[in-house]
Amino acid sequence: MPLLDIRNLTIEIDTPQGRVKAVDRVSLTLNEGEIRGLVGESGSGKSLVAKAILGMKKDNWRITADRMRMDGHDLLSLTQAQRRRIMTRDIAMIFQEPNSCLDPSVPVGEQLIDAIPWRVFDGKWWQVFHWRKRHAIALLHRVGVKDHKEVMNAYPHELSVGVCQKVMIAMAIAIKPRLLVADEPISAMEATTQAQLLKLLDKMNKVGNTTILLISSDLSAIGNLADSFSVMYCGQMVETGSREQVLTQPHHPYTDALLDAIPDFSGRLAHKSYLNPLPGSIPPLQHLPIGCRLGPRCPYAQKQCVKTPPLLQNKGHHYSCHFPLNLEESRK
Amino acid sequence: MLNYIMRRLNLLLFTLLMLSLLAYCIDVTLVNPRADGLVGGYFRFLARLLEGDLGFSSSSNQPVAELIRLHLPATVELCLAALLLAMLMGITLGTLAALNQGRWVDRIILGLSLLGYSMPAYWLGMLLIMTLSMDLGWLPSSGQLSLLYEVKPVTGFTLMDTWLSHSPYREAAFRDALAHLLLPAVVLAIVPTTEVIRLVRGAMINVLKQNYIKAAFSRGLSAPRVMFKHGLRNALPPIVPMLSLQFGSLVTAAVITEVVFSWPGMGRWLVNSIQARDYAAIEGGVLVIACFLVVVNLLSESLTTLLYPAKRKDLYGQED
Amino acid sequence: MARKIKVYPEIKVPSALGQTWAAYRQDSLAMLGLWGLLFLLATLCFGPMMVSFDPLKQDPNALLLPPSWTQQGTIEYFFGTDDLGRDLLSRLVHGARLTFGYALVATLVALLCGCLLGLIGGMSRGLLASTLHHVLDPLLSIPSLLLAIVLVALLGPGLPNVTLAITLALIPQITRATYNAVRQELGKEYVTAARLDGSPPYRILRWAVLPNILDTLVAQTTRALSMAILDISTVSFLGIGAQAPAPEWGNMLAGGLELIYVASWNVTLPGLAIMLSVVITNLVGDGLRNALQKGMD
Repeated sequence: MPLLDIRNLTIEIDTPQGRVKAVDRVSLTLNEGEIRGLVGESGSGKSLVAKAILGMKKDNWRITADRMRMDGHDLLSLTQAQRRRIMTRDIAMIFQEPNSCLDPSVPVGEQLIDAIPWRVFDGKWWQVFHWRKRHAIALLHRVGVKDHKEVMNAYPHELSVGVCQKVMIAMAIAIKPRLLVADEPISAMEATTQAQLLKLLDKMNKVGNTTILLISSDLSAIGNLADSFSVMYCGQMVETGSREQVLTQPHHPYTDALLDAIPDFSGRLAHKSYLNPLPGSIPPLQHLPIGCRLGPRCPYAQKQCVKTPPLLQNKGHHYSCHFPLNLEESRK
Repeated sequence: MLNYIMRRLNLLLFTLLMLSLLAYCIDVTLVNPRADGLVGGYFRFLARLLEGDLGFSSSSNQPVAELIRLHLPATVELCLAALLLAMLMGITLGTLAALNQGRWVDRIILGLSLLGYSMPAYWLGMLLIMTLSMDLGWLPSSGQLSLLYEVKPVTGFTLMDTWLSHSPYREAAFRDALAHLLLPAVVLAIVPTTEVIRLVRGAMINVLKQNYIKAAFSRGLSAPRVMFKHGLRNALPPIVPMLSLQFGSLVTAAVITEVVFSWPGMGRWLVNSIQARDYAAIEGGVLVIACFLVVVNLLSESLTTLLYPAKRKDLYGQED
Repeated sequence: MARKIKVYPEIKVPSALGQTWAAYRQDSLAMLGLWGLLFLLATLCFGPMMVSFDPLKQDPNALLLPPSWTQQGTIEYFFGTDDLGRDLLSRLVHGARLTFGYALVATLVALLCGCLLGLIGGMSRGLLASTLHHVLDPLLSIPSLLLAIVLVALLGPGLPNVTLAITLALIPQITRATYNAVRQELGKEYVTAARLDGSPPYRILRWAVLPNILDTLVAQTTRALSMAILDISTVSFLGIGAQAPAPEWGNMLAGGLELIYVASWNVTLPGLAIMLSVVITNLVGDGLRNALQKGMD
C-alpha cells in the first residue's frame, strides 16, 4: 500500500475575478521510502499541493479529491485534532526561506527543544532530566551543526540561511516522520549549502526510511537525489515517472523543454549560441487555455491539443499528451 | 547600549528645554511680565523651576507646586486604573478580532471600537451616571470616597490610603474607594481600549501572516499554543512604545472625565484654573503634565529596547 | 444571441482612480458613511434655511417640551425644546455649522500647513529636517487637547480662538505623519533607482512619493477631522470655547447637564449628533484608505 495516495486533487480558489482552478485533477502516489521530486515553474501549483496535504488551507480555498489518503487515513475528512495528531507523528514539513520560519523572538535552541516530542524518549527514567536538551544537541550534531552551543543560544536573525534550514531539518527529524514535505528547501542558497542540505535529506531517507516529497522549481538541482519525478504545469500534472524515464526519455514536451533549459556546460554549447527557452510565459490563472494548458506555447501543438489529453501510462511512466515524444510507435 | 542611552538622554534634555521655553512664553506674556531682558529673565525662570518653585496660584494664594502635589496622585491613580483596564480589554479583544479576521466576531469588535472612539468621553460619562448611578443606584457618581469615611492621606492614592489606614472600617472604605474608581476608570479607558484593539489586531494579523506561524502550525501545534507561544510574544513588543503614546490621550481624556465625575485630580483643577484665569496654575500644571508624559515615553522606550534584543538591532540599524 | 466574444485573453486594467472607486463602492459601510457625509455637508450648507425656528428664539410657552415621538411632544418642535423654550432641532442644525463646519476649517488649514511642512522636511536633509524633528517631538508630547486648552487660555475663549488653537494643535501631528511617510517612501529601492536615473527631487516627489503617501494623508485627514470635532465640542463643554447662547453641540451638552433628570433629550441628542458625525468621518476615512490600498495593488 502506498504511503500517500492522492487521486484527482482539485483546488479552487475564490478570487475577486471569480473562482480559479489553481490545481486541476492532480494525482500523486508516493511509496514508502521513496524520494519524489515535484517539479514545475513557480505558480504551477506545487506548493498548493503540499499545503493541501498538510491541511494548511485558507478560507477561500475549496479542496476536492476522489481520494486523498495518508497511510490509511483519509486526509480530507479528518477533524482538527486527528489532523494534528497525524501532523505531530507522521508528517513534517520544511519551507523555503528558513530564517522566516523560526520565531525571531525565541532562541533557536528553545524552539528546537520544543519540537522534540516526549514519545521519542527511550532512556531510563533517571535520564529524563535535561534529556530534551541533550537530545536537541544530538539532533544538531546529526544535521551537521558542530558548534551547538552557539547555535542553541542564537536568535534566528543571527544565523545564516543554511544553518537555519539545518535546524528546521533537525526539528523535522525530531518527530521521526514517515513523510517529509520539503517545499523548495534549497532555493536562493549557495551551491555548497544546497549540496549539504540535499545530502542531509538523502541521509534522512536512507537512515530513517523517511519518504520525501521534494518540491523544487529546478530540475537539475534535485536531479541526482530524487528517485522519481512528477512534473506540473499550470496546475496540471503533465508527467510522472522514474528518474531515468523522465530525465532521459521525457514524453511530454514541457518536461523536454525543462530539460533543454538546463544549460549544458560539457562543451557542446557553441560560443554565443542561443539557449533554448520555451516561447511565451505562464498564462495567468484567470485565462488558462482550454485543452492542454501548454498548447499555445508547445512547439509540437496540433489541432487536437484543444482537447484535454488524458493521463496515459506506459511502463509506470505517466504522461498527458496527445503527441508524446521519445516513443517508438507514436500514437496518432 | 551606552551610545543609545546617551542619545535618548540628549533628546530628553532637548525636549525639556523646549517645554521650558514654552512655559516661559506663557510666563512672560501672562503671569509676570518682565522688564529686565528676555534672555536673563529666562535663566532666572529656569533657576526658579529647578528649585521647584512654580509661583503662586492667584485664585487660592497657595504655591502651585503644593497644589499640584495635592492633585497629582488622584489623576495618576485614575490613569493607571484606566490603563490597566484598557490593556486587559484591548489585548483580549484585539487578539480575538485578529484570530477571527473578517468574520462576525471581528466585525462586532471593530464596530464597537469605532463607536467607542467616536463617542465624546464626557457624554458617555453623563449617560453612565444617568443610568448606573441615578436610575439604578449601583455605583457612586462623583468624588473619590464617600464622606462617611475619613482617611488620612499618606500616599495620596485613595486606594492605598484606605488599605493602609487603621480605621475599623478599613475594608468597607477600600471597597467604597474601588466603587468610586470604577465608573470614571471605565469611561477613561474606552478611548485607549479602542486604540489598543486597533494596534493589537494589526500587529497580530501581521504576525499571523509570517512563515514561522505557518511552520508552527505545520508542526501540529494547537491554535492556542501557537498564539501564546509565538503570536503574542511577537505581536506585543512592537506596540509597547505606541501604547505609551496612548498615555498622552489618556491624560487628556482624564481632564474631561475628572470634570464629569468631580474627581479631585489635576484635570479638574486645571479647568477650574483656566476658568478663573489663574495663569500661574495653568503654566505649572501643563509643564508638570508634559514633563510627566515625556518621562513616561522615555522609560517605556528604553524598557522595550532593553527587553527585546531584535528591536535593539533595528534601532542601531536605523540611526547609525 | 448577440454576445461579445473576447478573442484575446486580456486582463483589462482600469485606471487607479477607477479601481479605487470600484473598491470603495464594494464596501457598503463606507458607502453609508459617504451618504452620511453628504447629508452632513448639505445640512451644513442649506440646513439653517430649512428649519423653521431661530436657534436663539425663546418660546416661553414651550419650555422643556419633549421630542415629538413621546406622549407630550408636538410635531412643531420635532426634537423638543430646552429650558428656555428654544427649538432643539434648529439648534442642532445650526450647531452643525459651528461644530462640524469649524472642525472642517481647522482640519483643512492644518492639513495644508502640516503637509507642506512634512513634505519640505521629508525631502530635505541635514539641519532643516533635524530641526523639524526636534521641534516637533516636544510639541507631540503634549496631547492635542491639552495644547488647545493652553492656547485658548492664552488667546481667550471664543469659537474662532478655539478653532485656531485646534488647528495649531493638529499641525504637529500631521507634519510628523507626512514626514515619516515621505521618509519611508524615500528609503525604498525604486526611489533609489529613480534617483540613479537622474530624476530631480520634484519628479521624485510628484511621481514616486505623493501617490504612495496618499493613504497616510487620508488617514491623517479623517483622524484630524474626528479629533477636531471632538476637541471643539469638548473645549466648549468645559466652558472655555463657544460661549453660552451659541448652539454649539458641546455647549448644548453642558447646558443640558443640569437638566439631565428632567429633560434627558437635551443631553442625548447633541451627544448623538457629535458621535454620528465622528462615526461618519471615520467610516469614510476607513473606506477610502482600504479602497486606496486595494487600488494600488
